[in-house]
Amino acid sequence: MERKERVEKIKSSLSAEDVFTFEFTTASGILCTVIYADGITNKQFLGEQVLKPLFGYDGTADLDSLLRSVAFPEIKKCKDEAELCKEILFGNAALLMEGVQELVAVGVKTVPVRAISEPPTDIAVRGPREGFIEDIKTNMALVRKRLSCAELLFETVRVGKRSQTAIAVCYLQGIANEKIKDDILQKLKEIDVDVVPDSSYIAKMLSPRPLSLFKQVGFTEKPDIFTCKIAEGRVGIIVDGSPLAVTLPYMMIEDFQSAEDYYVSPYRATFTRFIRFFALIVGILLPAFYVGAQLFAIQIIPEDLLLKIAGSVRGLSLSPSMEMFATLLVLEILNEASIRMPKYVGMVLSIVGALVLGDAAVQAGILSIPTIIIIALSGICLYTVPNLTDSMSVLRILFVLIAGTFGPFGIVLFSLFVLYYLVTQEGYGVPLLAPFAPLIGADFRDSLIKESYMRLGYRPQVLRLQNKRRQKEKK
Amino acid sequence: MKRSPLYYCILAAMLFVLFLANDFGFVNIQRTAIITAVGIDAEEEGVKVTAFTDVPIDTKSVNTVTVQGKGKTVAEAFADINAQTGWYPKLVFCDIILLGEDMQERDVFAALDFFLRLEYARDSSLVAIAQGRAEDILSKKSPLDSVASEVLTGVLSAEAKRAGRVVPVNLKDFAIGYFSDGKSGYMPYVTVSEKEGNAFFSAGETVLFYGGRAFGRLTEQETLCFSLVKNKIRSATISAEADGEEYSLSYQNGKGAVKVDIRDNIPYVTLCVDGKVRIRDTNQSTNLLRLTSSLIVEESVCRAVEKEIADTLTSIYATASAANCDLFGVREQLRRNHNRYYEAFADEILSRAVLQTDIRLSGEKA
Amino acid sequence: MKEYSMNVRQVCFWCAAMLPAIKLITLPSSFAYYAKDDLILSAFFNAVISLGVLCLVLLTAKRSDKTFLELVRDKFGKIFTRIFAGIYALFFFMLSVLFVLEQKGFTETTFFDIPSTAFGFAPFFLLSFYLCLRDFRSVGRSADVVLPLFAIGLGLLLSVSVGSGDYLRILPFGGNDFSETWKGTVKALAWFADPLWILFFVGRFRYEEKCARKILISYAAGVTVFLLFLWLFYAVFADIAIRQIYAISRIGQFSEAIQLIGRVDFFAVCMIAAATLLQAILPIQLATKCLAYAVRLPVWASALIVNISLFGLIFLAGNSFSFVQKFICGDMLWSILLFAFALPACSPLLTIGKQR
Repeated sequence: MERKERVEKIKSSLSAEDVFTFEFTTASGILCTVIYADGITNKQFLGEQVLKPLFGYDGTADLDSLLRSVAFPEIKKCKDEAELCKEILFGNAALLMEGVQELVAVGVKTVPVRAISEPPTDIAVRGPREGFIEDIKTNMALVRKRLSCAELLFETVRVGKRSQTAIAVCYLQGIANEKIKDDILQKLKEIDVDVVPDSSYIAKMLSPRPLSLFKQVGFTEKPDIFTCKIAEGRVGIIVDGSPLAVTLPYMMIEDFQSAEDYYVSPYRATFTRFIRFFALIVGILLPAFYVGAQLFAIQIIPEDLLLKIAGSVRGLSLSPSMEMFATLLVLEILNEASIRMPKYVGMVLSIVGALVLGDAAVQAGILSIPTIIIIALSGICLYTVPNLTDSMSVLRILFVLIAGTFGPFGIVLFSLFVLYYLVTQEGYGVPLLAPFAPLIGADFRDSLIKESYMRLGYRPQVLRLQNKRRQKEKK
Repeated sequence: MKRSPLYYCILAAMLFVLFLANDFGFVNIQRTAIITAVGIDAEEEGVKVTAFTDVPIDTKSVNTVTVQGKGKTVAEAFADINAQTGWYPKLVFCDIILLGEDMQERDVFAALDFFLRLEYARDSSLVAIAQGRAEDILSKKSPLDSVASEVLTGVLSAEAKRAGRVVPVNLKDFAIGYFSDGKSGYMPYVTVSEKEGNAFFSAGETVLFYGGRAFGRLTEQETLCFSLVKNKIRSATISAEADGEEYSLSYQNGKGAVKVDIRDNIPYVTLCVDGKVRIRDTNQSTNLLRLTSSLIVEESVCRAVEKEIADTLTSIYATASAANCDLFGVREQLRRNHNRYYEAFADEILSRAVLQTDIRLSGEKA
Repeated sequence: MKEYSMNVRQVCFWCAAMLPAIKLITLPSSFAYYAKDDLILSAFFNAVISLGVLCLVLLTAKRSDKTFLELVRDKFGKIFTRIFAGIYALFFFMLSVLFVLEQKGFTETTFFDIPSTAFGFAPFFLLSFYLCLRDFRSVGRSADVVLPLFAIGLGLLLSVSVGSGDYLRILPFGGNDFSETWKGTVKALAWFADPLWILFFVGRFRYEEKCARKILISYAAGVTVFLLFLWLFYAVFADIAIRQIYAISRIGQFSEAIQLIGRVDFFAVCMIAAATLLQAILPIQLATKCLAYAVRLPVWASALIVNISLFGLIFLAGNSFSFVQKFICGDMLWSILLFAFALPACSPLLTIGKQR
């Protein structure tokens, strides 16, 4: 097929007005056409590194000779026009030359990216402050920077019928469980969606139970955490356009671990992990127990405290359960609004929510002080494990509904239900509650209890890795 | 069965409806009477119950309300209170059950069994006999606390028990004694003395029971001696006289025991008291050296106190035995340690046993 | 290669937590009623009997990695096994009535301040239905999670109650009329049907080296915990122990600490209740599975039938725990002896000629 026909074919496929065609002749008279998408192609780079050398080329129409004259390494030969069209849409330039049959794409893609900054989640007082950004290449570079080993492999697939989003599956060869990696790649290839705006889409699709209330995959915005998880044998997924990287398989205990735990004393880390665990339990159950105790079993409240509670709820128009439920709803509304609002309005919202609404409601006898205290405490407690806040706040409301209906007995039953539900959850053969259910003694060293890093000689057994040994243990 | 979030949504919706509409056993905290003390007095027909109820005004103040009800039984009297006030009586916070003096002429357990039957009451409530009517005692104003029951709880507290001044007993322990083979028990006797309109409570005397009926009362001194055998004493003050001098001794970390032995087919009961003493005070002026060495108690003083305790215990034992009251749990000791003799001796052991005392008080060696 | 849904550790945990937990509710007062201060002796006889049968059950596990029903099928054929499973489904259902009524009474007095309506207990059946849909993998894993809960709960409860007892009250050891002590043992057999539960775990866990020893030690540990609790129970309540029907919810109230800081023992009771509930649901799960096997129903249908029937029966029975206890532990004692002890004890016969 002649160059001209090919150009016409490509142009008919890519009729968008931001796709430009540029024709020129080399010094030896070979007609060339460059097709590129405006905005995502680095035109300066294209002109200086590709076109300028080609202008001065005075050889024959031989692809190898032509490309040797170009001072640029990222050249990709495409098998057909369709593939070349995809490359153009990714931001690369198509190069077609008279008398040359091969179709060539030149990697001159450029996308607007923001600078690397500290992510808003996974904040650590000590430790690296770099965070992933929306550009996959930058993110891959951030990982590669930390894992400069030949075993670190990225396998890129494109997902999304329309978006053709690049997704890099990242793992350590010889360490990661091959079956898990293959399963993930297989699932990625089977995904049939229009667009992938964020990694959360991919996460849902890779989840064993995408409709579950509980998290099924690990998320992180920090390359240091991501790298550690990869080094532990997990498989990482970086999605172009998302600063949130996904790690699989996921265990709930991961969310009780913080990057900082690895940078501070193991005693401190163990203590804070227990605090997080305890805070989470308190955050979920405290409002429910308060309601359950008031409505069904006041005997469990110490006498003096009971008198104070009874004093404060005296004359309230709402029942204890309704009061707690309504206050929780208000908390969720305030929470939602404060996240969505611009920062400077958020401050006003805090004042309005906390001071005006809370204080006025107590003064007006709509809410009682203990309820406000309990809601505040519960809210703070849940934020000690920020990755679980979303699901746990839904659980908290469910617990309040149950406590208001069946009392402490309902709380015990529903706790058992949740526990039973969680112990049956598995993703890629890894139980969600490991290393507690099933109990895996060897993995306890970095669970709620954090041993010194020097004693963590083995990677998590539950991941069934190819290479379990991490390092030599120091006693 | 294919699981779907739809099921969970339906369940959640049902739950919400139940949440709004159910009543599977609500307690209305605003209509619940938090009863902290109960007084029970005998009436011509049945009993009169005086309940001290905490009614919270706001988070900082609580009003204590006295509510009374009458009935043939205690349960009926509480139902009467419920009918009068609309409050649901909550006995799980009841610290003290005070029985009027008239009650001791009947089987007191006829009144107390209500609390033991009730699943929603606690068995750890203290029980005591009041001087006169329980309602009068509970309505007294004390300078220590506006609520008499609060003061009484302090008078009958574990601290007072450890100091040997009173022998408080809770419902459970009284019930155990009542239902044991000995059918015996005791309760502190709460008296009140009024000075300038203020009431001061004391529970130094102890009422003795057999088969749920009172038959005698221990004086303060006897109560102290009984306490030395019955309870672990952390620090009690014992008065003594030796060589014409009055002593106040501090009896510390003492323990008592009741031992039963069978020798030559004769049962022996030994009441044991063992503890350290030190001089707390004397009625004579002293020199610095003697003041400094108050840990050292002369042998003669110790022996004098031992003799006094032994005599008092012998007297208590005799009083109790005469009414067939197994105050010291002799039958229980016989059953535990000499079970093969139990059948033979159990009925008459109190009268047949030879009483011995083994009182050992010692100070630091000089 | 056979995939096992449980492992030995989980069976051990079940023996150490769930099996003693279910015995903590009404059984102490029942033992006190018959055996008085010899209640430990009475319970000890139960433990010895159960341990003996458990040894035989473990012998079955050692010789074959098939489940009990698979062994019966190999020996007697499919039709017989289906009938056999149906009978066992009825037996498990009968035990469920006893345990669920016990739970109901316990729940109503512990978790409610005033008598609740019959529907206050209804959510139990929702949980039970959900658990019935799950396989043995979940049973095992729940043991992993509930053991620490039970241990913490019981530890807390014991620590607050330990100072309130007179520990010599159980003397003289063996002083009670032996026939009464033995009666206590016989009446408690339903709660000591432990070998039966383990028999239905057989074939679902890999029999490893020293497996029997581990399970027996765990079971002995669980029983020891129960015997210690009985000691504490009688030490605290003595002659009125028979009145303390729901022992765990009442034993902590005499602690001075509890009177100062409030009912922290309630949270301990909640943790123990988690273990008792799981054990109370186990016969319902087994009834579901046996029924599904016997009449070739899908598990969900079988679970629905069992749970709805049970709910109806419990609703009708109201608070007739004593009557049901008398009926099951008295009139139906033969069935407990046969299905929970004799047949499990004979289970090694099914493996004659089989060697791993």
